[in-house]
Amino acid sequence: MNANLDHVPGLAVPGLVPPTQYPLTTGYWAAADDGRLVVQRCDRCGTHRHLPAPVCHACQAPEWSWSELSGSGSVYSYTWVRTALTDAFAAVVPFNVCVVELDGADGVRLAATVTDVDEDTDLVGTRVQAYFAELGNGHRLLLFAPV
Amino acid sequence: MHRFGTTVDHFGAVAVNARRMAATNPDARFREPLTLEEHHASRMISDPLRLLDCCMESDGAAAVVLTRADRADDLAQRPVYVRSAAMAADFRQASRLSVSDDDFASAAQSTLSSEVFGKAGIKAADIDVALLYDHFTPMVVMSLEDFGFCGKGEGGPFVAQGEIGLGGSLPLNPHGGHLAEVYLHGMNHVMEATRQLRGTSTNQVDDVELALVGGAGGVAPTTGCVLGR
Repeated sequence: MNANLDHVPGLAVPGLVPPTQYPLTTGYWAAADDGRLVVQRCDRCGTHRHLPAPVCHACQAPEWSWSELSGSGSVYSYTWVRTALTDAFAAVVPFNVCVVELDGADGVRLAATVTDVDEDTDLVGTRVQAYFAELGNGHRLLLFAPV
Repeated sequence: MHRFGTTVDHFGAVAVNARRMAATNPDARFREPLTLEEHHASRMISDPLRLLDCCMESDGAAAVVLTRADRADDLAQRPVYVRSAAMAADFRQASRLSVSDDDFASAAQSTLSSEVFGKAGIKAADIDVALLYDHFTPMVVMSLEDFGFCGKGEGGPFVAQGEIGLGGSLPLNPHGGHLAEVYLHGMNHVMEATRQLRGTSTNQVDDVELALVGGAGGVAPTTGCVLGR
């Protein structure tokens, strides 16, 4: 059990596999380890995108840069996972997986857990703020909390 | 559910329909009848999906023999004909979470619907029996909407009102589908469509001339075909 995560309900996951990194994703994880949320932004037309892709879906330009976001957003959809798919998650179910629409990012949404929320509450529309938690495997994980 | 008021009763209606159909299919894995109450009592997997909203991974085999129509005439089995087949994507799969509201609450089959019906020169209303990919019950509700058997957001009431039963406007998965016959990743749907067109199903729909087979919904791309006699 990772003491660094004791304050985060349902997210201390012994045996969680570290992210596989490749050239399109290394920058995301490096920023996360530094406590910053970045997504790709097209150098030509300025459109944000995520998950990482080599070409802009709006204008097909291959040039892009990482764009740092404020980390604020709203819950678009969510589920509560109650059955552990692997042993690593057996100790932490139930946990939610939320689809969060990020502010100022052309409608980009990503999936993450929102902590400090109640299972019986409808989370759609909840305003949230990103933060990062130590995983104990050399990386930090993106989480959100209500604001 | 948030946008259209779709309920777990609607998902349950898909599961109940599958079991009702499978009851008379000797090849079906799950032939015991199911009530909505039993569906609601099954354990939660990932909210709102309960155990009985999910099909079961299975070992099995299926084969389809494809040949030219003129050669098929001489074969022992009565042939059925591929009226159209299509593959289409409503969006880039990696962008699945960031798509429009309509695409998010969909089975990602609206482009496929236009392609597969367009190539066959038919409309949704011309389909006599539908074999839709029922890996999870909510995907069936959204597939029905994408293929135009009902309006957007109306899939829940459509299944709850019995439209997908043998006496309904669109008999769905008369073999029991993935949920109750077996999960052969759509191949058993092709087989049932073939039986319906030959008139040899255990839940035979009257006068079937056109059957729709829908591939796995929710992903991009997805596939489908219209078979006819």
